[in-house]
Amino acid sequence: MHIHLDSTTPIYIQIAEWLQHEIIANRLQADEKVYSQYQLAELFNINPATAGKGLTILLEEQLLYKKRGLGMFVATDAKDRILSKRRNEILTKMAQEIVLEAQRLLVSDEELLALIQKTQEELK
Amino acid sequence: MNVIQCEKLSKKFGRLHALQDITCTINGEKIIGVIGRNGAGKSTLLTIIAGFLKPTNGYCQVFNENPFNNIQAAANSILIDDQLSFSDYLSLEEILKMGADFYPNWQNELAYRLLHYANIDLSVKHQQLSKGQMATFNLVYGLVSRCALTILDEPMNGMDEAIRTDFYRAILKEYIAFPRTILIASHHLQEMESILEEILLIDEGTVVTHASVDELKEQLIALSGPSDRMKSLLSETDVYAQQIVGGVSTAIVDASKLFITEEMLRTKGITKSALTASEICRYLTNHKGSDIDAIFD
Repeated sequence: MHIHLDSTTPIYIQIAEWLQHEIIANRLQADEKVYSQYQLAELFNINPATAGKGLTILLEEQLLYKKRGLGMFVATDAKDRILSKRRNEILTKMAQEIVLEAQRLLVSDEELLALIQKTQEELK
Repeated sequence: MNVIQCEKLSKKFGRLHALQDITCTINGEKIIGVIGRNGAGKSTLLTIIAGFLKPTNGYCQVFNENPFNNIQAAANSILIDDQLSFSDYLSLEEILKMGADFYPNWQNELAYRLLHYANIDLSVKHQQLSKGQMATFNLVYGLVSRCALTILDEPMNGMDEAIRTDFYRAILKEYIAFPRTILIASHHLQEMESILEEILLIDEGTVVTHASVDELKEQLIALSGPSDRMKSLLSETDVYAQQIVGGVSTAIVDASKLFITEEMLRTKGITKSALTASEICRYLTNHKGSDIDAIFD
């Protein structure tokens, strides 16, 4: 992966997202040791403190756990939790977009709900 | 213990106020970017910290001691800039040998490897080097000394882009191998932003901001949307720059004074985007009414 310096997303969040991506893709498995902040710093050519912040995010979300003196490891249920979180976030965001677009196009609430039900029926 | 503590530090050269009331504290083993426009006072500040200049007023302490004419400070810190000069009679190899004699943590083998990588012949004299080679040699000298406080003033001046990229990585790897406080003054913030932990932004001899790179990046944001809707929003905050093209207004504003939710922005059709650290530093040090277009009007 390449870190985008000019991206709207801060580097430490890009690191956190990359690690989540590695977990989803099974390249980092449950109870496996993750990269240290120094390994991440060398890997992506970034300051170790920035890499550390990325790891801290995952630690706070309990997707990683710490073993004293040994480093950080992938939580057993990390992959499932990342997947369900992503589903929720993406769906919420798409729903917002649909509602906003409907408002711009002056579609009434009833029409919008009917449209969604109709689409559900069609795709069943 | 603080690595550097400056309190109301001022420096005058005749009638020129190079530094005015600089107060800042630097602690911990971090890579810190010292950023500012030409003539902002970066080099003066770094030279005082290195103990080569005496402040006019206020004080500066390095490792709890006054660095001026202090052998303790000299052994624990190093200043690398383009004024660094070595004896005309010594080859680079002999210069490295003397460095090894003076600095306790000196890494001679690393110096050889880095200079070999940069294709610099160790049998030549320092003043025979090209501008870029001299900058490279000086930077290597600064890195391998492994001083607890390493000050690099425009270390990449004159180096070509390939070698600059390599040496930012060399700085990072050396820092990881042997953590120390590294100050880097540079105009190329964009190039080195990712390896920095903090930024000390200086303008007109004073500290504008001293923050972590992430905090700095949250200070200003760009907003863009229909001019009429932007107008009411902009009255609430500090606007650093604004441009209106075809009914769409784009403005750089102080994020801390903007009290509006993401949803509110979205419903108003206003988009928010982040700026790079380098852009933020430029806007924070833009002086009132400084507009290149105005010169040509």
